[in-house]
Order: sequence, then C-alpha cells, then structure tokens
Amino acid sequence: MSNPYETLGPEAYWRPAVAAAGPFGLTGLWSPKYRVRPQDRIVTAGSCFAQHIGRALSERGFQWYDAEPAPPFVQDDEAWRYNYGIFSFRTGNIYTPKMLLQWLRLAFDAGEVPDEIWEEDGRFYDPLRPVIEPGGFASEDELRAARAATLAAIRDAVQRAHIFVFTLGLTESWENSETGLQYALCPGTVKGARFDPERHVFRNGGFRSLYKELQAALRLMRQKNKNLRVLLTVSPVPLTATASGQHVLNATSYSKSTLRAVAGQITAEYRFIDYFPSYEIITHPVFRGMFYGPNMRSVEKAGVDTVMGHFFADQARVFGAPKMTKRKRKASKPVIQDDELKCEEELLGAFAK
Amino acid sequence: MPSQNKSLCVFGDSHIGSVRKAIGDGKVKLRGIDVEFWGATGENFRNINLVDDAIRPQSDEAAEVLKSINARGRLSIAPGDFDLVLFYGARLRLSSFVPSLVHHMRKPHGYMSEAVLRAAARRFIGNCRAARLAKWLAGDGRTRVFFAPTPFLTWGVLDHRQDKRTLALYPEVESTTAEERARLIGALSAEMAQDGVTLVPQPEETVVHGVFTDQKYAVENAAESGDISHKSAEFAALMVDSVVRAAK
Repeated sequence: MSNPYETLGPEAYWRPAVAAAGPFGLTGLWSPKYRVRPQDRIVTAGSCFAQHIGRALSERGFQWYDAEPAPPFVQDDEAWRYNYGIFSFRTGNIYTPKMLLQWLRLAFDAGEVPDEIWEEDGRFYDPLRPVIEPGGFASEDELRAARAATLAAIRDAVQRAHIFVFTLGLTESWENSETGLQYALCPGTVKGARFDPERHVFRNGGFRSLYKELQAALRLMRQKNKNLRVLLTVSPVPLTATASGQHVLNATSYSKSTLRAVAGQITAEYRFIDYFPSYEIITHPVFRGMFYGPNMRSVEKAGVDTVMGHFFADQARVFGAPKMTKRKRKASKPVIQDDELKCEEELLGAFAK
Repeated sequence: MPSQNKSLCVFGDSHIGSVRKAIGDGKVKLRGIDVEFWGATGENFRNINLVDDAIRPQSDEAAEVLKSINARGRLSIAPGDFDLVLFYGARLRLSSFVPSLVHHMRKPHGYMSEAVLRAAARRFIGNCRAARLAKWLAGDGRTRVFFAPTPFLTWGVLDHRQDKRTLALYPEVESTTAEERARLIGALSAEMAQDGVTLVPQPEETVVHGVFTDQKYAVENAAESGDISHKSAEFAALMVDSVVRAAK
C-alpha cells in the first residue's frame, strides 16, 4: 500500500538530509518563493542580524539600498557613530513588529502614533531611537527635523524597494502605559528618560498581537508599493536581558519561537512574503552552537558566511545563477565592521549584575 | 632696536600672490604689522610638511621656491616664530565643502543635525594637510593662527553648468541661501576654533549665485586664462583687512 511519504525527496527525511549530511553538507534549506536579482533594490531593517544581510548582499554585488546615506565627508567610523549606513534608513534597530508599524505609520501618515520626546540635561532624545545620535539632539526642533528626514527615507525605501528584508528580533518591549507608544529601549537604560514604573510598562507580545502588528505593517508597505516583496528572518541573537521574570534562556526561547511562528504563519498566508531560515542555520543543534562567540550570543563571521552561503546557493538552485552585470555606480555598502554591529540592546548588558 | 610691530606670516599656495599684490598696491593698511610670505605652488606646496619641530620643505625644489618667496630666505616655521600666521588658500576649498553639503541638505532625507554637520566639518578639515599644520602651529598658544580657505569659484568666467563643474553636478546649489552658507561655514569655523585656529570667512558681499565669487573679484585676465580659482588683489585686501582687524 502506498503512502504520501514514499514520493518525498531525501530532504524530507532526517537521516539523509541532516544526520548524514552534517552541518556543512546541508542543502536545500530554503526554497525561495521569488528570485532575488542583482538589480533589485533591497532594503534591510529590523534587529541586529539584518545588518549582516545588507552587508553580505552588497559584498556579492547586489543592490543594498541606502535611502538615507551619510552626508559628504561623514565616513567610516563617524558614519557608523551616527548610525548611517547600518540599515537602509536611520531608525536604528527595529526589534518588534509594533516598532516597525509605528515607523511606517509616521512615515506615511497612516494612523495615530503618540507623540513623545525625551529630554535630559538640556539634550533631546527620540524615544523611537534614543541612541541614534551620541549625546542626543540639541533641541526638539533638531530632533523633529532629523526624524522627518528619516521618515522621508522610509517612504523612499518602501516605495522604491523591490525587496524589503525584515529581521524580527524581540517580543519584549516597553510602552507608555497611557498612550501605548512603544519605545525602542527601556526608559532609564539609556539617556533621555528616567524609568517611571507608573508610566513605563513591560509588554511581552504574544502570537496574536505580534501577528496583527506585523500584518498591519506589511499591508501598509504593500499599499504603498504593490510590487514589494518581503523577506522575513528571525534574529538568532539571544536576548541580552529579560524583564519577563523568566530565566533569560527560557525567555529567549519563548521570544524566538513566537517570532518564528509569526513569521511562518504570515509567510504561509501571503505570496509576496517569504521566510529565510537564517535563524535555523545559526541556532539548530546540528550546528552545535559553533557559530556563536564565547558569550554564546554574538554570531561570528563564519555563521554569517554560512547563512549567506545558503541564501545564494538556494537562490541559484531554484532560479539559476544570477547574471551579475557591471553597474555604472558602485552600490551602497553598509559601513559596519565585523565586530561593530549596532545592537542597542547591548546597552542593557551594562545593567547586568 | 627690535621692531615693536607684530609679525605676520602669510603662508599658502598660489593664492598668496593676490595678498602680495594687495599689500604691494597699498590696498590694505598694515600699520604696526611686519609681513613675510611663505609657501609654494603645486607639487612644491605638497612638499612642505611638519618635520621634527617645524614646518619645513621636504624637497630641494620646494626649499628653492620658499627662498624665492620669502625675502629673508626662511626655511622653516615653528610656533613662536611669528605673532600671527595667516594660512591663505592652502587647499582648504570652500567650493568642495559647501556645494556638496547643500546638495545633500536639499534632499528630503538630507537634514543634518549640528553634531553630524560638525563631524562632516571635522573630517573635511582633517583631510587638509595645511589645516593640520595650522592646528599644530596654534597648539602651544604663542602664535595666533588664522585660516582663510580658498574662496568660492568665480562666477561669469566659465559656464559652471558644463562638463563636471559645480552646477552640472549640483544644479540646485545656485540658490544656496546666506543662512545655509552661514550654517556650513559656521561649522567649519567652530571646528577650527577647537584647534585654536580662527577661520576667516569669505565676505558675504563677495558671494553671488549661492556658492560663487562675484566676477568683479576675478583674477586679472581671468576671461582669457579661464582661471576661476584665483582672485584679485581687491579680494585679498578684504580678507587681509579682516585678519588685521581681528588681530587687533
């Protein structure tokens, strides 16, 4: 009697696909829904790990799109210091779907986002990106003008992009209890605002709310660019700290598995959304944690290379090798160094006992 | 009996020629100030650098040019050798700094905070060897150091919309406002002040079409030579005059 398993390929069976293949023999981990062409404008945003993807794409000759490039003469370390060239626009890390939604609503004037500015010692800080400028802004006007520039860059990026890569990072966040504004970082962990237990509340997003927020964000982007395709990933970088009351290891597991489930669900429902398994490649037991640094948190270059190796190999397997053409202008390149990922969440590490 | 006058060294590249002419023609009053010139053009200017404890020529050819420019045959400058040193021109070009930044600022995403602008100014200054020399010279406080950057290119001599000239690259900068110029040059000035150097800004009355110098300050025979960089003795007189006033 026949059964559905009889016709499946070897990739469906653990023994040949994983156990026998070993960590460096794995193939076909990703069956991409669409081709990523060298001429596609690729926008990256999200959690720390998205920074690797932007850089790896541009190193391979793909068009990572920098919608908010640094001004002339602001280069290398200074550009990095002021958060230029890290993501496609100067938002800093966007860890959660709600943060993405807030940025998009502001950019497209598509829904209420509570207004809040932080001030400390005569300097002004943007709660949506409090560490975007070391030392904060000189005035509220300056902060708002700088934010307006970033919102213009977001509009440009979303409307002109062919592919929007978004890396989901965290389920945990802090919000204003009265307005619902979600902060990029917990108030009090960075300069700008003192932590107020009455006003600042912890939120650990669940599947439903994260799904709805991500869905709303992606729908809004799609409204603005009907041809936009989205590539979701989940950051394999564990939480630096948790406020959930759980052990940080368990909290990481909850956070990542929930985000992975959200990404999987939404990818299954929308044709324009794909999921790339960078999370699995770094975290799966078959790799025995070999891609993490000694702190078992930072992802080392070998891990990023392996992830991107799978990305390009699976693109080539499904669609054929890309035809790289000479471009007149050099593609933008993220300015980050290997050991210099901008991970604001790292700031929490300073509070570790 | 030693002179009670202040000593001023005008140090730079080919642009110091206009200063010499301005002083020689009596276009600028230098009462109480003794002036020396020091510098070279082209490759020889690039061969003047900080060596040990003084600014010196690094090639025989550069040394020969310096001797021909400096009436006293001076071959080095160190802190304290002069009361005042004016770096003039010296490859710090306003026409490189201002148009490209205005072009950036005019884009929807182009707003720069003051801190970012200052970072741009810091890098621009840091890339200029003469500005680094000026910082070093000002370092111990014995010499008051001024820096007059190479002025904006001259309007009306060549078509700036042609080839890869300024308006071909950045057409919108023709409408650069006084406020925009003040903000950008103010950032340069503030960064230089951190180095102990006083920036001598190009007088506003000499600026036309946003980022150009009025044709009436063009160097002699500019129309024939196509020289849009060098300026007249009248222009140099305005610049030196502001240094003299600041020095008092």
